[in-house]
Amino acid sequence: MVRKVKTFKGDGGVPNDTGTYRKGELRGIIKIDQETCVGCDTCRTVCPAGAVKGSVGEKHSIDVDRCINCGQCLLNCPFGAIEQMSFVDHVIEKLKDKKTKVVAIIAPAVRVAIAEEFGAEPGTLTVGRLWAALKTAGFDIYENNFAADQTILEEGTELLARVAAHSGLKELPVELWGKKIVLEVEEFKHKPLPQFTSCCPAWVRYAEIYYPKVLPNISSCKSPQQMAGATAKTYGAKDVWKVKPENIFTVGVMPCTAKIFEASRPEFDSAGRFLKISGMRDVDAVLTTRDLAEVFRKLNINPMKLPEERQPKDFMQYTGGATIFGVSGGVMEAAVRFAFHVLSGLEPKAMSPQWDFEDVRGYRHPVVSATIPVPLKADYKKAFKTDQLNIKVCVVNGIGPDGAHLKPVIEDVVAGKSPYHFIEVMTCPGGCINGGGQPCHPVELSLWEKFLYALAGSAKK
Amino acid sequence: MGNITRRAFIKFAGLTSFVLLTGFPKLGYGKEFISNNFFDTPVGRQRINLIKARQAGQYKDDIIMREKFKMAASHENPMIKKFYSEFAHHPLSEISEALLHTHYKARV
Repeated sequence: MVRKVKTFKGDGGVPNDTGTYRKGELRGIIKIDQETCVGCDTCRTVCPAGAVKGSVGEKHSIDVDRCINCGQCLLNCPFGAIEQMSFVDHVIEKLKDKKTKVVAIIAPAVRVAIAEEFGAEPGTLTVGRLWAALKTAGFDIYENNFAADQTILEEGTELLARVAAHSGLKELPVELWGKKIVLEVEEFKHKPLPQFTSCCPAWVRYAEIYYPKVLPNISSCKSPQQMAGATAKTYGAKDVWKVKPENIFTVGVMPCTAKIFEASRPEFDSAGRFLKISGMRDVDAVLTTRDLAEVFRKLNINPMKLPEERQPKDFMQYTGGATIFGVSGGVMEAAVRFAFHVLSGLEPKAMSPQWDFEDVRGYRHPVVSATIPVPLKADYKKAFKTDQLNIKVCVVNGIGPDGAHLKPVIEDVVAGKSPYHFIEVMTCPGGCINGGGQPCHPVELSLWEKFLYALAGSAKK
Repeated sequence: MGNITRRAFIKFAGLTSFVLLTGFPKLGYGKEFISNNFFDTPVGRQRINLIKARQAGQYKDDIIMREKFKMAASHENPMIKKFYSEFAHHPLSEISEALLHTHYKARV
């Protein structure tokens, strides 16, 4: 059984720059209810950012300037004392407005968890049923998995460009769909290796607050949610749906509380800047998986009663590589599938085990690393002066308690001695499937475990 | 007389736990009980089965997309091909840079 998480109504963001927040950004997305908190200290031991204040027996609170909005405290609080900012009512209002086209951007991890809100077993795959429920509620659908495919094309190509530039190449020919383009890669010399993934907004904020030195290492690609918003209001509006961009209201449906913050970042009005429409946001509102279940309940829709069949069209089409973005190691595997294709020129069949890079998958280990040998096609052999490129990758499976999983990896990067080409960072252990916006299964600690936490907590003080 | 009264026992037990909970840890014990590996903490251990179950669902979806729709890697998505041929031209193009890329800001 899942537990209900208390919510409070979202606002319009901070009026001016304050602390680690810029004008317009949402501040205080996660809040500890002082009435319910008993001071058990569990939240402090799971916080990756050291943002929880208070010691055993005291009421705890969150230092919003240190908080990266991941929501791990909320998910793991044994007393259900932690609350989340929500935009449920705002979205329902927009659904009722017939002039507005409300587009749901649904993340991969939502489809393996939302069923739990309606009594099903964890991991129950809900795709066709979810699409049908969204349509019944009045949403149009832009699969965030389609945006994940966009991300791979951009981020994968960026990685190849960085590797080429640091191998001394001036240009890099890339063949896609039988068409050859030549990328100037000299400017990528200034972009260091290893490249970090940029999909996880809590990790991006973590780097911005604690390790600004590695910002040039982070891929310049937006996260899939923001790519989706910007594409929906430009290409989507003009070429696919043929509606006015101003009449589109984009709603990220995410397993994540940090996505609520991400959508409010001031630079994410790029569709508006591109089309010269002022005041238009790329993503207008974000719902967590729990919030979407709440929308369905308020509208009397039960997705589990709808048929599980898929007829994807337009932005609903996605690949296997995209859907595994929801698990730790998935972004890496999808990027490797793409890079493997471009570098080797091979086109393995869909079910070929050649597309399985199981070495990078992980749910149990805090850090996973692998070396992937990629055979090069003829013209790359000449350019790179080798027959085979060994791509070294690393997956950080959760930033870890007070940064414990990530710190050794990132310290190496700062010191310039990291052996990797590409590093994936997921703030939440296990990846987005265990994100702070997912259905909440109560944590039950035995007396002995509570005692250990208390000991550890007071020892830290 | 000489017997321990109920009240005295409770007082003794209470004092003992108080020492255990507050005094003891000051000596530095306890730290090692909480591992630096989240998956070895009491909370982490409880979440493993949930993570496994949802992960299995996600890889099942990978197989469905590959088996039924023949799409394993991102460039095989026909809509992606359409998006680039009709609109963005190619990865890292000017349109891509404007709409799909961003920058970061130190927050110190």
